[in-house]
Amino acid sequence: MEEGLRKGPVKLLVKDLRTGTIQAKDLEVMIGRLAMEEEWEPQGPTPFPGMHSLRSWDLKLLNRYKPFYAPFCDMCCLCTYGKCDLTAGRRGACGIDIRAQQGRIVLLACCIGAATHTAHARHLLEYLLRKYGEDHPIDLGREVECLMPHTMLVCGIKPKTIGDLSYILNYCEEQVAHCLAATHTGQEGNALDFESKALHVSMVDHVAMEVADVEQIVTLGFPKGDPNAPLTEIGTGCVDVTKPLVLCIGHNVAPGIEIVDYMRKNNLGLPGEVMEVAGLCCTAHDLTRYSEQAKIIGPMSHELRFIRSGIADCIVVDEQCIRTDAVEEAWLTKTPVIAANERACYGLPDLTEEPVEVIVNKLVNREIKGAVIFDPEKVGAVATLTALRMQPLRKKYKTIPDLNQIKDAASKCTFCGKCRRNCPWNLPTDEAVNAAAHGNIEPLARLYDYCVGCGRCEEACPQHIPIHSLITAAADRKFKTEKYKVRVGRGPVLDTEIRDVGAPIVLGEIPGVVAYVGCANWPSPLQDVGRMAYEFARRGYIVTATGCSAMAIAYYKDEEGRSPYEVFPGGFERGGLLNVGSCVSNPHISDACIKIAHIYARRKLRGNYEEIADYVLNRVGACGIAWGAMSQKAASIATGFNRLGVPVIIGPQGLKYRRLYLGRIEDKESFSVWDARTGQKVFIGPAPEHLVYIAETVEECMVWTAKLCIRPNDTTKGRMIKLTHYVELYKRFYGRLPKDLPMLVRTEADIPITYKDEVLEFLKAEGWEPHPQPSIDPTLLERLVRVKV
Amino acid sequence: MSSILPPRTSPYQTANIPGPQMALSPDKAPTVFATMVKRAKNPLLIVGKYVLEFDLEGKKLIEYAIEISKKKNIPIVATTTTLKGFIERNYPVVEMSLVDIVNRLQDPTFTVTPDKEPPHDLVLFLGITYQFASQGLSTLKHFAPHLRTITLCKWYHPNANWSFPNMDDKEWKKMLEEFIQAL
Repeated sequence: MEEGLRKGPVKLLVKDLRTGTIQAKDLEVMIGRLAMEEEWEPQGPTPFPGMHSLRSWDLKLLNRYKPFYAPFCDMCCLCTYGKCDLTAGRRGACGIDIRAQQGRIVLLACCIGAATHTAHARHLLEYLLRKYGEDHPIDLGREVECLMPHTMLVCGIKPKTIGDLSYILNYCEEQVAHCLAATHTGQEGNALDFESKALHVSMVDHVAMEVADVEQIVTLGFPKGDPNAPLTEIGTGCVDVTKPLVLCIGHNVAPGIEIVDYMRKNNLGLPGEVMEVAGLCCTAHDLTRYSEQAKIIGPMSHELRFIRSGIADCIVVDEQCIRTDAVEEAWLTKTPVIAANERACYGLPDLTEEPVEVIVNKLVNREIKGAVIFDPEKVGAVATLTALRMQPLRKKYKTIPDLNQIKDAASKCTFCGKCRRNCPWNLPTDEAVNAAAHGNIEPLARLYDYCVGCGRCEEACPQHIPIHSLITAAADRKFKTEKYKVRVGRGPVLDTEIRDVGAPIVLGEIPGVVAYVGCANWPSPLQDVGRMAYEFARRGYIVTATGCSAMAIAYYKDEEGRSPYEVFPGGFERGGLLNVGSCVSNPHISDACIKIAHIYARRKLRGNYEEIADYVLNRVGACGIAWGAMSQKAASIATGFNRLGVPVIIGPQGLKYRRLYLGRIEDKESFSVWDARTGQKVFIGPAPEHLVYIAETVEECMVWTAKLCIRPNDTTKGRMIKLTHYVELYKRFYGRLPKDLPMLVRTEADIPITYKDEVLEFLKAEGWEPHPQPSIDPTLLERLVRVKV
Repeated sequence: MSSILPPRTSPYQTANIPGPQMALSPDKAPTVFATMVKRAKNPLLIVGKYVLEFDLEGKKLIEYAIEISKKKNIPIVATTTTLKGFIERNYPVVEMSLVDIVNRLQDPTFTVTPDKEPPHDLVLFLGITYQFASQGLSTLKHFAPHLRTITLCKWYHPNANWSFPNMDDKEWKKMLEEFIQAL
């Protein structure tokens, strides 16, 4: 069979068949799709791995980084035997204990995350196949020959066209189903095996996300790894409120694309000319990747306040991270809602088959709150026409009070404190509302940047005070004018960039690759994400970002009032700051780690997951930070990074995910690796100490970011550079030298020059001795040892 | 703090209802807890970021932590960046993150005090972010049967074995002082 995957099912046509029992003419037999692949590289040991295929690798990881469980609920409520009390060693009716139950819930969360991205990729692929055909090539430009590293690594095949991607998604769907099945009552019962399956389905999640992003990049003309992707605007103040506005919320860009296209085709110009098109959450990133004139309203935390502002004239919701009360909230501001995805219909009538004009009339006349329209092209027409007609009708509708109405609303407050108790972050909403009742709105306004926009304060208020709206009203000026600069999501890291930085990353001379990813449940003002990103880019780390975190970075301003995206270059280079794109762009970050192993170190990629993950864990100083992680998708994204050997730090709310992967450095055996050159076992110190860690404060997070980029493979120069950053940050925030220096300093040459005397004195007092084998070829895989002892 | 307080022994954060086993909060908590500390063989005090942020009528929470520690020679584990506050006060502490210390406390052979026999049999929490502390307490409730936990914050913590009730700052100050007095 010719190169690449064969498209579609194999067809056998038999003109005339005669056997002892059968006689047939023109018999056509279809036997599914066969994977026929050119031999671009010898096939590795685990192509298309099943749940068990990489279990031994998982157990190696979990031997060092043991699951740490913090049950969020002591009971199991999943079957009719229950509720079962699993407190402190009790078992449920099915025999499960609390430890296994935590692993089970973690697996469930990761399955939800992986299923969501896989379904997203499938839905988008079907749309793109209809528009572009299955032979549309996967071309990421001349500087990306290693096209889909995760797919190549996990599946062992190299897709050539978008039609091939369907086959990859078949695999993802199958694995998600298997892993989800393992959570059924009376299936898996061991915590470590639950974790292994969570790691597996999360690896699959990265494949699915890669498919989702690559298919939209290659068809829709998104930037293909462009370090100079344009800067665009973000913030609630970035839209011209005198123009009609369509607001797209969610993650699936198909309807947004059709809105922009409909405007172009119907002489309505680009977004921003006659009318505005803006996005909220990840679909906003992808809209600006398609049309840089589109606007980004902000992360998910800004959703409720923006809907209530009444600025949008039509809202289109697609999938994921949409407020499930969006229709009800929008109805109060007379904003019609179009639900464009079968996974989120919100009880709206399905008008997909109705003519455009009929649907628009129903929406404009407020006969219905909204409509389900499954045809993205029709969504484009309906949303545009509806916004144009609605704008003059509903100019003054909003549910956020005016400044002079705040005091009246707040005066109902009995100061019961229920709002504060219901706030995920214990924000002093009670004190702020009480102050407003007495005429001082400053405390309310101060909460604006801290509030994660969940609205739980209002749900708890017995006086039905619209507290979230009061916060927005008190910060009215900021809400209406805040506008920042963010770089459009650039997509993959180029092969040429990897060739330039592969060596300094692996040797430690670029101190690390830091990835700010995940959602908007931030424990501190959203500017803190930008503060951290700025600090690490300034220090010469390569800083990458996706999703709501990539947005939050834009809200930070330096002393000259510049966004970090205006200060740092957009390349995968020392001191670069990359907005990679939306949630489904996350694999470009893990792909960069894979490509370092493949392109720089020439490790085989095809179906060779374990060896590449071993390489990344021991050599690539990368660390993910999901400071505001909230969703199940964030759980699977992080766990997928973990299986590849990349540690992740989460904000303190992350302990509600119930599980961390923590090392105990005093267990020296678990922190020992093979030296592939000598065959000896060598203690490597805390490099890295944990695989999933929680930081309580931003300062702690920064210190641990520097620490978790340390790897056993660092050269002395590299270790010295990494320790310089670690020691500087530790001293700044903790006030003295870190106590684990004796384990991290292998020879005197590792000691940061600026702290030489101080560190030497400290080491001497601690009885430090130079490590016997400071330079090793580290691996957890005994089969890679070249010399047996 | 609100003038109308939540019920004293309902979980401070709404819906943080873990299960059938929730913390006890006796009427005379300061003296009961002090008695438990005096009976403990190897108690430990873990403090979080609020010890540097909270101020009770001019006295920082960190000062209370140091007084508790001094009174019964209880080692302090300073989590997150609170170490700096203790260095400024020249008071010796063990620096470790909350998840690191809780992880180790599951191990009955672990102790931060080499001069005392493991395990730590009583662990006091003070000044840790509510939800973070709640989850750490949950770990200890389930996986550290060899120890008991007491929270000294102004919030009722259902995942502890023993907890102060929900209260305002004035009462909290009074309770902390009674507790220290009774040690």
